[in-house]
Amino acid sequence: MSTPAPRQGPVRPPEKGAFPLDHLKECTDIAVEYQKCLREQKSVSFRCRELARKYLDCRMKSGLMAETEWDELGFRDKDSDVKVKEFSPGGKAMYAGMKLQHEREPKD
Amino acid sequence: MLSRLRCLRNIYQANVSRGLTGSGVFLRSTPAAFNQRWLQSQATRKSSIEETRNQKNKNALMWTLATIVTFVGLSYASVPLYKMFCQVTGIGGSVQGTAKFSTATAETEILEDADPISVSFNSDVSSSLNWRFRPLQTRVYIRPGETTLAFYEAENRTDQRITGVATYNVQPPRAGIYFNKIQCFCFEEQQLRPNEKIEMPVFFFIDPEFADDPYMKNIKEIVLSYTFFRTEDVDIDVAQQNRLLAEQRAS
Repeated sequence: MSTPAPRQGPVRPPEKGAFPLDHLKECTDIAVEYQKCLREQKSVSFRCRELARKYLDCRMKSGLMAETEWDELGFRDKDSDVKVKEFSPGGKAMYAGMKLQHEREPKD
Repeated sequence: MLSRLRCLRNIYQANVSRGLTGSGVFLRSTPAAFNQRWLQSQATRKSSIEETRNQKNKNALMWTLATIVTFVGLSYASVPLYKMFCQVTGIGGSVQGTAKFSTATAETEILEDADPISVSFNSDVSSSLNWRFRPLQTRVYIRPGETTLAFYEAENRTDQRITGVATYNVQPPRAGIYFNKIQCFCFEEQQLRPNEKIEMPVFFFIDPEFADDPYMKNIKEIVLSYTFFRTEDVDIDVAQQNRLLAEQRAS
């Protein structure tokens, strides 16, 4: 233990508390759809935002979540206008000594 | 010139009348008197030297005592002073009241130009808890400020109702303060029915201030890790069933 263990930040409780469990499987189908969407979209969750919204909506309607405004949950109408610039989730592999080559590549 | 001569003559006459002869004739006074006066002056000089030395010593002592008292007082006073300082500036992670998100959920905005962050999910189960607990997605790629939904799945593999409680951990630790959970399943007891499989959502976002922190510049991956533990509570249904069985056997 030559270096001190890094201090964990303050452990905070979730803002809106805990989700009650969906024992009656009312919203499980939407959850499955969301998972499928994530797999198709290569885990970029922004592209599956509508399904996430649908899931939370289902929870609210079934009484499994407190009714909240969409703005308060971070779903804004202008989200659809957000141009999230494309990125390749895979990324470039990192090799030792390849830094110079990266710098020569044009930045887009 | 003349007055000096007159002066010398007076001294000569006075000494002669006293009976001094020789070279002592021009002395203003007798050697004994002269010696005495000299000794006296020396004594006063010495005592004044001593006095000033005493005074200096006293001064030095006063200063030293005052310094000691000041510093001892400062070290006692530093405890409340430091507390006040920390509360005002918030340096070193001290919090005022309850820890709040830097950016409230209602105000978070998706940062379009920020670098994407990969949030990976990890799960652990305590050995005394016979559940299968796993994340349903390996990772999600998100931007700071984007509210994201993720799922974990827990399956109770026994024939009894079991209650568990989860805690979480964020790696790297410094990124933990930017990990804002809106709603999740942690810190509260969750009971699963026998052989029940259930999905558990986590709704979170990375604080937009993550993009402004220079320490977070090279952090491209955050790992969220949940661990489920068993809560030691007596299952009411099981106790009731056992009682009923015992009664049946008795009858």
